[in-house]
Amino acid sequence: MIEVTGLTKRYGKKTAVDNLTFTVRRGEIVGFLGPNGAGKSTTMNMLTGYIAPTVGTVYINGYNLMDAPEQAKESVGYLPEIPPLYMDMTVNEYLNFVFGIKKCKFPRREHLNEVCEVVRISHVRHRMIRNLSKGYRQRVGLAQALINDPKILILDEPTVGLDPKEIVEIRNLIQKLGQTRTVILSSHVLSEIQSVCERVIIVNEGHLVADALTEDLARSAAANSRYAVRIAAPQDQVVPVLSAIPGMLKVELQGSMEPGTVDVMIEADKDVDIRRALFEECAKRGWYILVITPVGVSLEDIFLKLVDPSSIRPEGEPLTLDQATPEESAKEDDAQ
Amino acid sequence: MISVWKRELIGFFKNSTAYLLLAIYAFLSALFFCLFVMLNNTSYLGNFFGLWLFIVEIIVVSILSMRFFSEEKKNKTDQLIFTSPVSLSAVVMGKFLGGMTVFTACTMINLVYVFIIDLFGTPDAGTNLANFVGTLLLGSCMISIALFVSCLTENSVVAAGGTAAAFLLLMLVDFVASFLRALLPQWLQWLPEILQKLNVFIWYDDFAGGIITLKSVVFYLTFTAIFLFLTVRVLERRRWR
Repeated sequence: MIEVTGLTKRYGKKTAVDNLTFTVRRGEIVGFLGPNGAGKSTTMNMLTGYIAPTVGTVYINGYNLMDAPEQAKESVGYLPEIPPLYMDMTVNEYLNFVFGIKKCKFPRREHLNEVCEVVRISHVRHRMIRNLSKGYRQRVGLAQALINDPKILILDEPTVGLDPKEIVEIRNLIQKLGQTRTVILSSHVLSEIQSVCERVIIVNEGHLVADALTEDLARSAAANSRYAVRIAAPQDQVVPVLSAIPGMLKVELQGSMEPGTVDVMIEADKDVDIRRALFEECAKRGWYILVITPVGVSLEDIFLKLVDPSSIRPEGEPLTLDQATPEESAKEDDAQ
Repeated sequence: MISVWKRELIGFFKNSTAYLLLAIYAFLSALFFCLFVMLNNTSYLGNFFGLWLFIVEIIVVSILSMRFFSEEKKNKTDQLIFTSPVSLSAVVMGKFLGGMTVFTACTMINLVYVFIIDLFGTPDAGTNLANFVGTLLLGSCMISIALFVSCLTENSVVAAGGTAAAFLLLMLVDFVASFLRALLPQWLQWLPEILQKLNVFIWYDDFAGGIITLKSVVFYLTFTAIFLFLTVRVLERRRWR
């Protein structure tokens, strides 16, 4: 659906995006992650044909964006970081303008009604855009991206500046839209990417530092299994007893949240299921396990590890984390 | 192209820009009509469609230039236009037509003066027609220059100032040409000649006299086409920078 090869953008001596290569397949929801200034928006702008790359090619739906820009752009709906809204228009006028400029072939009234229903702006269609709240402006921006029913949606930081309720609503909407479309979602909000995207591309200082399924990334980054445990037991005995369990690497006392109980953070070898041994040891001593919660590695931990300047992957070398790329996963699936 | 043109009209008329321009044009043209036609007890409108009206047109087009590309760039709405499946030349033509529509609406105010002359005297239909055609052709040149200047900057005030400065330079071309003619040797005399031909206002003389000449029409149309082409090239080049 989207094939990016050697994408590079230089502004004078400054290289904003350096040799990005990746493929996004039909139906994927891909998170494009990176700190501020990493080159996310520049990449989005190149993928949508707003700016031209210095070097590299972008194929959208089989069309080269440089050679056949109009055909390539027909498949893309783009919501930039700042929604491109004309404040002097009503929502209706604006959507009609977008309908025309995108050379949409659908029946005008039905299509616009449908788009407004999806993003839930039907009741504000006759209001001036300048009088709408930021959340509604974002929805109108999303509506313009959906006009002409594009197969690919490129959303650049769609939840920036929204209140928590609006953020949840927009995320749910993106998930819903992703069921029938290819979505590239750029963000620096890690929880957003983790909750919405099945695959993550991480860039830092214009370089690609990771490209993997979100699950694989988290799994490969987690060196050991960790659990938060609450046990009804004498506080002074817990650490030495648990530390003696085979496979246990670390026991950290966290304090006591309930009378007569102890909270500990345990870390064990990831090849050992420490929960069984823990249960047996506690049962033998008459201790009760009240809570046991697995503590996973968050995308935030992975992200911080990857965007560390020392972790930037030199050209041609494997990724920092030994994860399977989506292509490899696909091959494995095919083989099965 | 049609969508961009409609959008331009909504922008001009909803922001009161068009009404402001129409008001400025109506006020100043009425003033010049009184000064150059009524006070002279003449039915000849050739003097009215002259230098002073050019200045009003320069003001109008300079204000129009603020809204063409510089404002789009400043508000980031150009991201929508340039990521849509529409060619740059269609975008430029849509904006050109938007500007021409407002300019034509302003020019049509002058019809009022033709009716006034018709009430109290005998208007010279040929001269008036030639002047209307000439004004619209000159307007198309001016708007193409305004579009070109507007795509060079994202500051609306700089766009308006730049457009006005470009027209003043064109007006001064005659002066510079005569200065060069005195300075340059014989074999370089072609240079001031060419320079003088670039003055878009000089080419209006035929229309003012009531004559529509093919060479003047071709000059204005070619001049407009060249600046529209340059605007497309600049927009194209900006994507690569």
